[in-house]
Amino acid sequence: MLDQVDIDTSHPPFDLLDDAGKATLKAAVDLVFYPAEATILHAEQEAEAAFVVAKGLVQAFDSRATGGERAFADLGPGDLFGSHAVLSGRARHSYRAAEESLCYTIPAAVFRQLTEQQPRFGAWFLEGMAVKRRHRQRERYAASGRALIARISDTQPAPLVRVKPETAIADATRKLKQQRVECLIVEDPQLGPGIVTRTDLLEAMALSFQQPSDPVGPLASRPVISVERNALLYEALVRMTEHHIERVLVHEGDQLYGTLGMAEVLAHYSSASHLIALELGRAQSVAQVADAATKLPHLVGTLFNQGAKMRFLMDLVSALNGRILERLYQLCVPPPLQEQMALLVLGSEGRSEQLLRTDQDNALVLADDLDPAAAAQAAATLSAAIGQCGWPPCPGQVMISNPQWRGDAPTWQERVQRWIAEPDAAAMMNLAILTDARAVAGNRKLAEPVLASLRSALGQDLALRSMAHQAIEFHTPLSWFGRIKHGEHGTDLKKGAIFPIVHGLRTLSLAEQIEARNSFQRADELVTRGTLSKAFGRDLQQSLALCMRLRLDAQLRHQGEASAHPNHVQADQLPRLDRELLRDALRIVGEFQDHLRQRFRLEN
Amino acid sequence: MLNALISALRPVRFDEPVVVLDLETSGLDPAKDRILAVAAVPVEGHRVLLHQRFERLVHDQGPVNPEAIRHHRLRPLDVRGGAPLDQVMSDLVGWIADRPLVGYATAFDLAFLSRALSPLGLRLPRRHADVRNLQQQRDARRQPESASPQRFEQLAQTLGVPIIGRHEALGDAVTTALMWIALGHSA
Repeated sequence: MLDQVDIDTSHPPFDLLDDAGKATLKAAVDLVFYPAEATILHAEQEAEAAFVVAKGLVQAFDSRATGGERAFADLGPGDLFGSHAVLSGRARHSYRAAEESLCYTIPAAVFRQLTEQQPRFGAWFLEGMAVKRRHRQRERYAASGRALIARISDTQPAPLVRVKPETAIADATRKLKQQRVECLIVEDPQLGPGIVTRTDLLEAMALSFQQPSDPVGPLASRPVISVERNALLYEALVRMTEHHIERVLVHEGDQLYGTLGMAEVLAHYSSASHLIALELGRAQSVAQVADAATKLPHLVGTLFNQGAKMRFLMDLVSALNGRILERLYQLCVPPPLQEQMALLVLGSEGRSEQLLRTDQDNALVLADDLDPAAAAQAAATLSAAIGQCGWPPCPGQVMISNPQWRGDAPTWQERVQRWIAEPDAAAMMNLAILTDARAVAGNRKLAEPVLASLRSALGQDLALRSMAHQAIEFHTPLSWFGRIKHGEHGTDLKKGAIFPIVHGLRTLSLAEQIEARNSFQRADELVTRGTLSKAFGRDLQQSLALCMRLRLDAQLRHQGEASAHPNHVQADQLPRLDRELLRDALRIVGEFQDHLRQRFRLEN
Repeated sequence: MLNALISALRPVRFDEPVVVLDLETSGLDPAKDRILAVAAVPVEGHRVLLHQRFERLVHDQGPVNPEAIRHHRLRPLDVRGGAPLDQVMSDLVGWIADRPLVGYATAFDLAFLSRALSPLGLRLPRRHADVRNLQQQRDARRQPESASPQRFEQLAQTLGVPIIGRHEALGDAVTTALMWIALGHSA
């Protein structure tokens, strides 16, 4: 049963319309019945309307460069389609009713008029993913109980320290130091208040070669972004996210009250992380480290539910995991050996992208003259301790207890050469996870020559092409996002989206000699070098973060259950906006695969 | 003359423009109960022209029937804001023009409407169709002995049509419009 006759305007994007806009919509929309197999919208044709599914199932088809069509998305009740066709004048995709379906039709002229006259509604379509992501973020913050209750007045904003525009940089810096604040308010009688941060001062001196006696006035940013002191804490977080800033002003009425930084906001949510760090510092036995380590998954769940950003979560988890491993290394490896080995974490842990612990993927680089038996002994003890702290043994034996994942630099270089010479699936996977390796304990210098020679060996065209080939192997968006039937496992986010993005970025980074390991940093660097456009780099990062968030959400909900399909989500049960974001993300993955195909001249 | 009459009584075709109509009333007796709300939507082919909908509340101060209010959820408060019945009726007749009428259990609605229209000297188009009767005739062709009229919800289910805003005049009119389209599609 449908509750109402008209389009539900309580959900995005229609909730972005004001009352006049909603009335315009209502006065224009019809309801149309489509028999099964009926084509609703033809690719390459002008669209007379945009559509919202009222009942039934509509499938979107992509025409392939090689000819033919492929279903790439399912649309169910509430889903909007054809908006791109209406706005661009021509449909990219075909849409067909997969079963008898009812759709609301919004005439093209009315749809265009609404996007032009209603800026928030228009931004939804014109600015694409970033806008949808912010809305979803708001929804998620709003859905989280504690985040709803916490107000800015519950935190301790930093006091406001004011200076005049003519104040010298040196005096301003002194004031920052004395008052222990991160920023100063520059009171300009003409321009109003501006803000100068520690970073601004540093960059003025170090990068723009200003003199300590120069005034701070010209460095101030305006207008200042501020939040009401009585507002909810997540508002501050959202404002910072929206404006790409790390600090907002807090005002009470028309009086400025203080400043609030991202760190303070997150500290309010995540004091538990400091406790874990403290506990680790004090731990004197493996059992005590394990005690502290078991609290980490719970922390991840809490922070996630409070709406923490994925990149922040991953950084935090990676920092804490690093401390756990370092502490275990100190406790398990005999002191004389500690400087003779380097512990590497591989794969997602190496990229600092692990959220919930998966298998141990680690390796040891040994000093040339180290006794293999002593190394084997230490590795066995350390591996067992890591297992005790919640990392189960790797089924593929990619771990330090396996002699194949220990060795001195020449041994490692020889292994790498062998993998490159005989690039079967296992060898390719080994190369991939080793590319992401990060030294977390011991004598980190030992690892450097191994990783450097790996990077240069993989930078060769042939090796790159075989790697790139893997990233395009899974046909993305699609058939697997096709119709999701009951009894199946849902949508495999790892195969379909996370792996192609991570592996593609890895391959491009190798080609460009980029040393960054984290996928988000790799994307940043690829943008800096012009390999990826700025917009596309951002789309890839957002798509990756989205898939990681959806996967984590599913994993957290099934925590404690032995899930056979930890990388699957039930796309048909996702909130509508997430489903829409996922569809966008899958399209981005497809575009990325095309980009890789061109870049590395690969066949389909 | 006769030809005109014959053409005026020919059955309503699924491919011609029609108006689907539903009333909410203060009770079930056309002789003494009153029209409280009128809703109608045009249908052309597979399209329900929501944007051309006709939707009116009728001003009413008659005795309150709690049973009927439970059904249509129109409180006395709601209908006090309605327009006078005569006004609504002449608007409706003008709006329908000569399009055939379609409804569920049309006889009920037509009885109420003709009582309201006759003092004004107005009349509805002669041609009309009843989705309940049409389905019953189809059932009778398949199983002559057991075919009986289907209740509204039952008919929607038989035809695979979603029930939209049940017991609101507009919702019932749109649901009935979809029944009409479904009947035409499977004809």
